[in-house]
Amino acid sequence: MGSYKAPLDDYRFLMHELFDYTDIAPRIGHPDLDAELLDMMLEEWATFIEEVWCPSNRIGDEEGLKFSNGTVTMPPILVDVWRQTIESEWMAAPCDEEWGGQGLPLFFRTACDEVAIAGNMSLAVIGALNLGVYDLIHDHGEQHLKEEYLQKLTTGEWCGTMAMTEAHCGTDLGILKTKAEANPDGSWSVTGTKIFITGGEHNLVDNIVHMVLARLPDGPEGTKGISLICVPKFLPDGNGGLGERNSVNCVSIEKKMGLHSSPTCVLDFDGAKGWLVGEKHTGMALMFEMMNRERLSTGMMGLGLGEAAYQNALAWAKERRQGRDLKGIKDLEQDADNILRHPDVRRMLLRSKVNMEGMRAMGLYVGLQMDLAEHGEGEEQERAERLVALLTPMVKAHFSDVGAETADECIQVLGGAGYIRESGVEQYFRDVRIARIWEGTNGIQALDLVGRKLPMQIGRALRDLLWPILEFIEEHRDNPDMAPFTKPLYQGVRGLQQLTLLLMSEGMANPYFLAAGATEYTRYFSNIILAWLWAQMVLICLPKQDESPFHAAKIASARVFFERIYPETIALAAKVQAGHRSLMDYPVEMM
Amino acid sequence: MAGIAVLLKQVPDTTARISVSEGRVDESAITSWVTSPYDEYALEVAIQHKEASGASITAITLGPPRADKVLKDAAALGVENLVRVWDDAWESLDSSQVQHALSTVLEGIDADYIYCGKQSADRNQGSTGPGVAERLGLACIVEISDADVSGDSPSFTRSSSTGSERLSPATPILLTFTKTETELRRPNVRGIMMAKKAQIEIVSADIGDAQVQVVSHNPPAEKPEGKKFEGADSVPEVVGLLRDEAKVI
Repeated sequence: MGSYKAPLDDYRFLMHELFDYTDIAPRIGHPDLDAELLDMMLEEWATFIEEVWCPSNRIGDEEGLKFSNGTVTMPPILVDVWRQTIESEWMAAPCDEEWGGQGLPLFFRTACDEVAIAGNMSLAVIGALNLGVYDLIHDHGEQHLKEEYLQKLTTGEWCGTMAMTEAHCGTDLGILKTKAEANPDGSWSVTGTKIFITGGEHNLVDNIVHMVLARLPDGPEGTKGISLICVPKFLPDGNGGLGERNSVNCVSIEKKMGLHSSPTCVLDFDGAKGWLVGEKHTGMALMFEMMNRERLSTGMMGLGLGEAAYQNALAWAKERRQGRDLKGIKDLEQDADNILRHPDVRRMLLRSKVNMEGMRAMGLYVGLQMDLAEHGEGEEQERAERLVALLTPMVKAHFSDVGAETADECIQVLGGAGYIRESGVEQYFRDVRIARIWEGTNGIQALDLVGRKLPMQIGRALRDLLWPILEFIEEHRDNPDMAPFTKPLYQGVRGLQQLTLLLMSEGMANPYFLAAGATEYTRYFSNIILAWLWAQMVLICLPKQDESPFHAAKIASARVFFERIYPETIALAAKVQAGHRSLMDYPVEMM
Repeated sequence: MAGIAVLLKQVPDTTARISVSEGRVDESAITSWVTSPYDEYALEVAIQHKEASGASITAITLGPPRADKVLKDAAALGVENLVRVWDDAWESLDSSQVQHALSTVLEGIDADYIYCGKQSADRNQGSTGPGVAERLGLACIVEISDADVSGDSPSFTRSSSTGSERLSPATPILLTFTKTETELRRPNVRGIMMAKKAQIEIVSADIGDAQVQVVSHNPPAEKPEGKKFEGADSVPEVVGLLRDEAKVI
């Protein structure tokens, strides 16, 4: 168990039929990256993950980490896998050619993220952080920082981290205590203790580059006084090698529910030497840039591990025989029928499958918007920027929630065997759980959506999204084959508009109302986007369903979505409308 | 030195489902094709040889357009010259015709070393290497399991009834490879992107007359369903079966 095959057929369908990449490629600065090359790249990445990363996943989980004298030793197989990953140059794929990368589009990276996460999430997280640090130095670092770090981060020879949280502050970073004092040579001395630092110390690579949030002596109180400092484990020697050991040390590592081969470190900075990234006191804004990228990657964790759990549950279900078909015995030669004869088993598996397919479409859609936001022009670029901002909290929260629910459901398919480690599915459940927490808990994502993103430019992003949906519904209103999909979509969009109006108007007067319904609103909104994408997929598949089992199955998946998943929007709307009173009036002393 | 040629065959993925229709394998139903595994070892040695000597490699395959993939995969690993031998008039070639076509193409290539797998993963006949060597009038060494191509005088190891033999052949020579201890390299991203731009030369060739006709093709017999034993109570029965039926303990 614990096997995985990348869903390449689904990606080909999404890239070539739903989103027509060939049409978009020239607008995102990749006119040469045609469909054939894209397929080839994704196939090779999938092969690499399936053959190199996947076998290390279970071993890494079983062996875990060793911590001694401030050093973290990874399972040897992971060290070897990381070496092969560096040699294959996959880490460099999305980085600039100037720094040794291949400059591939971000939506391709989104697809790669899902596959890598399914293969080994502990390693995928380190890769995602690397690219986040690369982006920060690339976009905001001074030239000497770019020259010293970017090439090493591009290849994966050096790794990066994000050092924000302290023991007394996680979500509320405005009260952090880590400080940085100026040195005569223009560098800064950082002092403080950071916790929950993923990949803070390990032996995969020679050097680790920490992006540390710290307050400068003249920094005002609160989040507006925080700066971003680049603090390496070893100071670069100026020739691409390692110089003096910096005074940043790993004090301990956490023992966690999952991700047993991903070191979560407590780091002590004792006057560690570092360099400012960006302007003084802009650390929070910069860190949010990195975090927004990481939030999309975190969403893909839900998708990647949900898909892996589904594949394993399905493989089990195909073999497992228990009970008899409710309409009569199907296999007389056996003591029992296959469990796929049972409606409830199908419910669990098909909800899992369809949720993953829908999220994959949404993830790729957001990836394409990221590329348009970075390389597009004029109104198209501005619109894409707004859409990425609006959709990021939904991808992070919805994907990680549904991914965790899927892994849970897939354990249920296996019954008692799912609770046993040997099945492999329980690891996906343990590993995916963190995705709902880190990079801003899903509750914070919901608040970000209703508090920041909806009012952005007086609801402009919302209009950017809803108008094309309404146009799509109008365009296909008279198509009877589309009616089972466009009618509920229309009702959902109208409901969304009403809920948004309610939240904004009531929320202006009472923030409790806004906050109490934020999580349900986020899930409702995510379902609307998924419904829109499903309707578009149906439209593409209808003329092909007779010749192609794949396209026929897509339509069947859409039916499952609209009949077995989408109706939850009715209950979600009721919860948003109920407001905050039953929660906030409840006596605390009785809780 | 002169160049290196490596013969690559595209075969169904070993996990692909093979269906037989009207007495023939239905190739259109095969969704996944790969480079024949023994050919991959031949390719790996060819690349090592190129790295040591600076010689250029020509990868040659015989097959329809889908076979371009094995050449592109070879290009992603650093092979410069790609040749696909094909003619749309060809349908099913027998091994003699394949050898005929490949040797005709190889006559036009200046290669000191011709490498290929000892047999393909689909037909397993092991005839292509020796057959091509015979037609070219070259010596042929089969079942090479190790190669040292780092120096001026490459040497190759093959198993023998008394152990193994290390051979240093005169050139030109054709060598067929079995599985070697060498770890097969994987293409890196740069190689894959370069491979996209690589040009494939498509050539036809004389194939001579067919010597063998396939009358019909039958799929292998279905494997009997496996047995499952659950719980500690079944241990004596399992032990008994392993001892008396399977005779493995």
